[in-house]
Amino acid sequence: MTIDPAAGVSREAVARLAELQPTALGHIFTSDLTVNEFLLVKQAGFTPLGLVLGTSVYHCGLQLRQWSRNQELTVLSQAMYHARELAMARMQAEADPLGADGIVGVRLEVDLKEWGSDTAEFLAVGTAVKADDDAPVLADPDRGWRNDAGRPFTSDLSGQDFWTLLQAGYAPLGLVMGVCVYHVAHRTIGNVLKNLGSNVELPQFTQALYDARELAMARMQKEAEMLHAEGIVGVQLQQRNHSWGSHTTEFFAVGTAVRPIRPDHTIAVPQLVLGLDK
Amino acid sequence: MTTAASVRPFTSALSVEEFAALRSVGYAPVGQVMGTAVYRMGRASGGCGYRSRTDYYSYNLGYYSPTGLAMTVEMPHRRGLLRQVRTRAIDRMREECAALGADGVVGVRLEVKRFVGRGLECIALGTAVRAVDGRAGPASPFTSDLSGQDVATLIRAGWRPVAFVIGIGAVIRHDDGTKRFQQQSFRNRELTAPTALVGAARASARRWLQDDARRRGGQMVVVREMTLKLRKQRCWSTMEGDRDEIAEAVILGTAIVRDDAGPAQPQRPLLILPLTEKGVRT
Repeated sequence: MTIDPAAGVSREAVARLAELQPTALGHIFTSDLTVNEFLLVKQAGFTPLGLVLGTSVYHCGLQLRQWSRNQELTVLSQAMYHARELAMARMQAEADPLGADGIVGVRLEVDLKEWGSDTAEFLAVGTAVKADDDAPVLADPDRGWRNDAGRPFTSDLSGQDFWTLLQAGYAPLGLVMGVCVYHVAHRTIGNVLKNLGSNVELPQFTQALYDARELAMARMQKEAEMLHAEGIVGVQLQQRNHSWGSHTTEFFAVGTAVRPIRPDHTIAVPQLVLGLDK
Repeated sequence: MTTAASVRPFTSALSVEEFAALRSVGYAPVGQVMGTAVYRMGRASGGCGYRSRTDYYSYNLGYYSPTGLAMTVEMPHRRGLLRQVRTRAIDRMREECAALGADGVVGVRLEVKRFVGRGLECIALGTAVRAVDGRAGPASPFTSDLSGQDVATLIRAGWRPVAFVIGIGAVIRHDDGTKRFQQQSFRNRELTAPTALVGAARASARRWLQDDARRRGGQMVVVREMTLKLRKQRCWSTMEGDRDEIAEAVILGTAIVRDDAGPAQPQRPLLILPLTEKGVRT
C-alpha cells in the first residue's frame, strides 16, 4: 500500500484505508450511495470499496477589480479551481491504495459560511468502486477501467446514471470541470439615466455573462480533450455568488467525460411506459 | 386474530408508498416509537495540550510536531458524549419497539438540539414494523434510517438492515496564529491548520462508523448523512486569551448484511422510459 505523502492524505485516513482493504479481516465498506444506487452499481458489475473524501480549506488571495469594467477575476478563478483540484486529488489518493477502478457519485461542495470571508472549505466525496467478474468486457482489457493517467476514473453521475451509461456501452473517464469568476461592470450613471423607465437590453451585462459561461465551458471541454474523451454527459452549469457581492459571480461547469467501452456497442431500447399515477 | 390488541389501529409516520412497499415484502407497521435523552454538555475537557512557544521545557519534551505547529488532538470525552446522547435515545426507541413485540424500526430520524443552557437533547423517532408472514424475526429488533421503499428494495435484492450506526469524530486544535498569518496573504493559498482539523475530524468519524458497524455485525454501511460543526472556545493552556478550534463530524447510516434466506441474484432492473415529464427512470 502506497500513499503519496505530497497529496496530503491525513495519517488517520491511511490507518482507516488499511482496514478497508478487501483482503483485511472483517472489513466493512461504507458508501454514501442510496440503496437503489448501491444495488445498481453492484448490478452493473462493480463492488463498492468504501467512502473516499478529500478536503482543503483555502484562502483566496487579493483580487483587484475595476468598477466599470467587465473582467475575469483570475486570482479567484484560480483559487476556486486549485482548491477543488486539491480536494479531488486527495480523494483519488485515498482510492488509489484500495485498488479502486473508479469513484462514482462524486460530490464537490464549497462551504463558506463557517469560515469567514475569503476562506472556504472545499470537499470532494465519493464511493470507490472496483470492477468484478460481472463487469462489461472492455475492448482493451490490459488498460482496464482507469483513465490514461493510470488513476481511478471519477464521475459525478448517480448510481442510476452510472448503470444506464454502462448498459449503453459507455464508461466514465473522469469528472471534468471549468471555473470562471467574473466581475460584471457596473452601469454608468449616464447609461442608467438614459434607459430610465424603458425596456432595453443591457449589452454590457449580456456580454459579461456570455463570456463568463463560455470561459467556464471551454475550460471544462479542454479537460475532457486531455482525457481523450468522446464527450461529456450530465453537464451542470452552476452560477454562485458566494460572498462576493452582486457583481461578482462564479460560473462552474461540471460534467463526466465518457468513452465507448467497445467500438461495436449497442444502446438498449427502453420500454415505453405510461404511468397511471398523476 | 380477534384479540382486542390486534384490532387496535396502528400509528405510523409512513407515507402511503412506504406502507405499500413494506407490505409487499411482508412487513406491517405496529406503531410509532420514540426515545429521548437530555445531557449536559460540560466544557470540553482534555484541552488542546498546547504550551506557550516560550516554554522551553515543553519544546524539549517533544510536544511540538516536527513543523513546530500546534497538533490536532482527539477529544475522547466529547466524542463519547455526542455518541452517548444519540445511542441512549436510540436504545430507548428500540426498547419501545421490543415492548410492542415488533421486529424492527424503519425510517429512524435523529434530531439533536441545544437544550436550556449547556443541555443537549436528542430525539429518535421511527416506525416499528413486524413480519406478518409468520417468518421468525431477529433476536433483537433491527433499526434503520432507510425509508420503507429502500428497506423493501434491499430485501428483494437479498440484503437486510441490521442497525442504525453512528460515527463521530471530535478533534481540537490550538489556534496558534498560523491560520491568521496565512489568511493575511495576498496570494491564493491553502490553510494548513483548518484543513488538518476537518480532515482529522472526518477521518475519525469514518473510523468509528466502521467500528460501530463491525460490532453490530454489519457487512456494509449505507451512509445517509454527513455533517461537520465547528466551534471555538477560550483556551486555558496559555494566558494570552488564545482560542481553540473544535471540529465535530457526525456520520449516520444503516449497516446491512446479506440475507441467506433472500434471493441469490437480485432482479435485473428493467430499462423503461415513462411517458411523463420526469424522464428516464430505471
